[in-house]
Amino acid sequence: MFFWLNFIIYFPLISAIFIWLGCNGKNELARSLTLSVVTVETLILTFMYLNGAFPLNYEASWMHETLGFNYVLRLDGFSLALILLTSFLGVISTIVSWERVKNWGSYGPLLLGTITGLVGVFTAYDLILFYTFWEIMLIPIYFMLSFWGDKNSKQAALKFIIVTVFSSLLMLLGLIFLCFIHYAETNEFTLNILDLINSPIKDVTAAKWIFAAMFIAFAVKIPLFPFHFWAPDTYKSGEPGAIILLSGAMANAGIYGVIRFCVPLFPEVSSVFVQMGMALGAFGTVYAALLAIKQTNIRSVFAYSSISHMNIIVVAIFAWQIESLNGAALQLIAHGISIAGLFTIVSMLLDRNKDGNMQELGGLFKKMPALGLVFLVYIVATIGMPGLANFTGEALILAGSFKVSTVWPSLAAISILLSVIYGVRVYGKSMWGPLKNADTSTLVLDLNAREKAMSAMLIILLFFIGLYPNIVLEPIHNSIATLMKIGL
Amino acid sequence: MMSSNILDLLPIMLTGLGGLLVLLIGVWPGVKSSQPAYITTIILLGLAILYVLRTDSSNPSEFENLIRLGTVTTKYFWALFCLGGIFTVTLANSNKSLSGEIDEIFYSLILFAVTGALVLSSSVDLLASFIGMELSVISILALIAWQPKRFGAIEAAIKFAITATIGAAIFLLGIALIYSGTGTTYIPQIVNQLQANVHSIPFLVYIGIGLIIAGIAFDIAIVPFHTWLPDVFQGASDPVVAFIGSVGKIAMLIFLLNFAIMVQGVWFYYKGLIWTLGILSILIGSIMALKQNNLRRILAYSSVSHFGYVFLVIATISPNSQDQVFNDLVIESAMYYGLAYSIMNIVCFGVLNFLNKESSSGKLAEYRGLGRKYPILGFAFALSILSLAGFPPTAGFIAKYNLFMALIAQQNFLSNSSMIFPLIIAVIGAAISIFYYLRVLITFFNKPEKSNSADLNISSQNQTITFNSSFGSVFTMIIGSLSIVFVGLAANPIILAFLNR
Repeated sequence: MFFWLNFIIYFPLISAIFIWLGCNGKNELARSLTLSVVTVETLILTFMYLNGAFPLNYEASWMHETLGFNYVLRLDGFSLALILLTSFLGVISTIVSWERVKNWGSYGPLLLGTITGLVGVFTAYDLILFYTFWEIMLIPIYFMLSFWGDKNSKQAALKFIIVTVFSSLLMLLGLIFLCFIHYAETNEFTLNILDLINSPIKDVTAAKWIFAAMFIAFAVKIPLFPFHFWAPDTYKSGEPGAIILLSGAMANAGIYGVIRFCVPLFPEVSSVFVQMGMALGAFGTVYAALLAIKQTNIRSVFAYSSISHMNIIVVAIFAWQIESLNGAALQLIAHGISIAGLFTIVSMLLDRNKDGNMQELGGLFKKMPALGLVFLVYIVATIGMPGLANFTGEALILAGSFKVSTVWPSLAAISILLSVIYGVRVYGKSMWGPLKNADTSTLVLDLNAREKAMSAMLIILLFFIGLYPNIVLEPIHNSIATLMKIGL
Repeated sequence: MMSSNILDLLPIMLTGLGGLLVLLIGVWPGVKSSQPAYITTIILLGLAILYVLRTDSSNPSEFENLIRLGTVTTKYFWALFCLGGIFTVTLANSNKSLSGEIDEIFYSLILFAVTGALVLSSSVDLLASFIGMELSVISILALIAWQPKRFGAIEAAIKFAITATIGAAIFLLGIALIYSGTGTTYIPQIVNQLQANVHSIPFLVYIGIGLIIAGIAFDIAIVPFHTWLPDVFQGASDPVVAFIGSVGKIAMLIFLLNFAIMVQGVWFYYKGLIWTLGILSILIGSIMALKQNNLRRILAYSSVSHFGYVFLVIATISPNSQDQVFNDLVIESAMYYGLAYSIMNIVCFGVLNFLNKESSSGKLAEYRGLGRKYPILGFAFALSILSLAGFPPTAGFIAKYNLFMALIAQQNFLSNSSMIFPLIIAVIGAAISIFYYLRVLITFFNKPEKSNSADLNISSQNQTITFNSSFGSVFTMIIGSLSIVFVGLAANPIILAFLNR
């Protein structure tokens, strides 16, 4: 099994190198290989997930006596659920960009490299190893955002990478400080997370600073208000395939970092920060939902909707109740799938030469009933209709958070109402009403087989998780129970 | 210290006398091409590497109180310098614009420069270090001006000549002041003489050490003595630039580390000065690199900021004997940084050397799309640039991590030291550096100006043909890329060796 643990991390990366070196100018071959690799990865992970092949531990000595870090991997249910989602979104992302991207010889390897980084982030159990994968996932996605996308994509991608890398560097400093303070207190030179969790540092001032450094790095990724300023631009101008990975899978890495590292490593600081954190999350979710109502571009609406849904998870984390953490995990999965769905819609519209400006859309349901139907499912899922995945997550989040505070969950609950407003608005503007002149004359095709297959996968998953949430909740049960030993 | 036998000097003899031998081979009757000289150079450097690597580094010995042999430092870095020499001559041999213009004089100059680097990096006497420094600097000066007709060659050489001369003069004045203050040029004795000898003049010695630091800063190109570097990087040919960055500067860095450890008793007086130099280098180097449109100038300014990081750490060497662990950590991190920088620089200029037929001026716009055209080259270049920017898991990241660790370790080892400000500067510098490094990569991997798939296919078929004719660049790129990853992933034994010098 240890072989498989390393295999799921490095298989995409090694394939990426081979595709990059061997498929120069061979577009079709490169994209087929990319799809095969992510599919194989997803199948292996599904098999592991359904057979309960976890927790897995793997530890190897690396640079322990000199630099303090080791090669420590650990895979539990929570990680595996997120990895499976990541890999699945990789498949969706590949199918989404199937026709539009013309350079699979370079796009495919970058996509696979991103997946390797993400899988590593979710399994690394040593802080520097975690940081390593954290940076590995940034580089390829930066190139994907920069080279593919509309004319503003370079600027937006640069903004994204500067913010993330700067916050990551601060996090790195925090990690080294943490290592040394831990060494001074326990005389044990280590960066292994389990060791650090077992003996939290006692120096409160330092703990506050390190917590801040790590939390900001994660908050940039989530993107938590007020560190979300890079996200709307990036989501608006990037290639939808890359955005699916960025919003559906990479944002999860931020949440995962807070749940897995920030709170367990600094329980005292976190308990002081509870109200503040919930306030940030609640404020962010309402703020983003309000901004989503005002947008004139479909992609911006989806971007703010994504920010809003990620921020509500922060409320759940700082509530730190068993229901709210379960809800957070469910919401992560559900948000990943539904936002991927919404960006597949963006991508399908983009394939039909519509850049998502709402003034130019309207009445498309008449021309494309299948797309309209699929779009409706995603919108309804995003709104939080019972029976679809998001509802379960939100209900659990709010139920858990009310135990801790009444103000912030109440505020956050407003965002569900607001989501109805922007969801219906964006759907109405694009699908109903009179046809725009441009569409009456040109031939607008409905979904083709590729798009139908992709949509079917997403919709089945949304319904399945919504109707049978235990498929997610049971595997993560032990992980959440372990986390709950740390009382806030 | 026992006196050593003459055999320990074999690497220096191989390179120094070997340079004369190569000159002789060049004028041997009947030799028409420079091929025999080339082969001889490779063989000499290879023999030197083999000899250095099989020496026992457990009992160091001093040769006539001039140079110290048989330490871990000399073992690893002598091998690195000879390897740098090999890479340089292979690069020069496969360089399109240098083809037909390289004769035995070029090879012998490389050998002499390597000799200078060897002497400089192992010297324990100020005069020996001066000899080593001048030997390498003057050889490099001739190498910079190698093709006088090339645009910018003479300009770069003159700038380098002036600054190097001034640097050498300052260095020599420092030596003179130290000698008049203590009566010795043997570095380990300087501090003893200061403390024990009633006739010593501390004031002169302090000024002298400051001047020596300035002379070293000239050679490493630390702000404000960095002005020659961008012009030289722009004006010299690729192999020579690779040599300057990977051998010349690193040799000077090793000498600085040796010097700092030997005079650690008075080193803390210069902490503020060196920190200032380092901070200025990081900020000015990074900010100037942002404004450049020429890849070589970007790399030059980034080199300035890289050595600024090293200076931040070197400043913190502590005079107390109980801080020996911390001092070891500092020296180790600086050495590792030098090693990592050397490899990355070689790979970068190996790539530029290969691209010489596409663009010789180094303008960033001319490199557009070349990363897609040559996948292996693009991979190597991306790896070296990401390593320079400090992304894990490359050698550059481990080096930066090491430096940060040495800076942060102060709070555990040294009392009341304020490292937060330099740390913040270092992080800001690293963040700025990501801007220009990514700009380079973006240009490199952008869509070519007039891209059509047929053109791409043709170029990928041509790739094998061009690779055969440019063996040196490809050899350097492949070996160097592997080393970047390998030195990063397997840093443990290297760091352990550096720690237990």
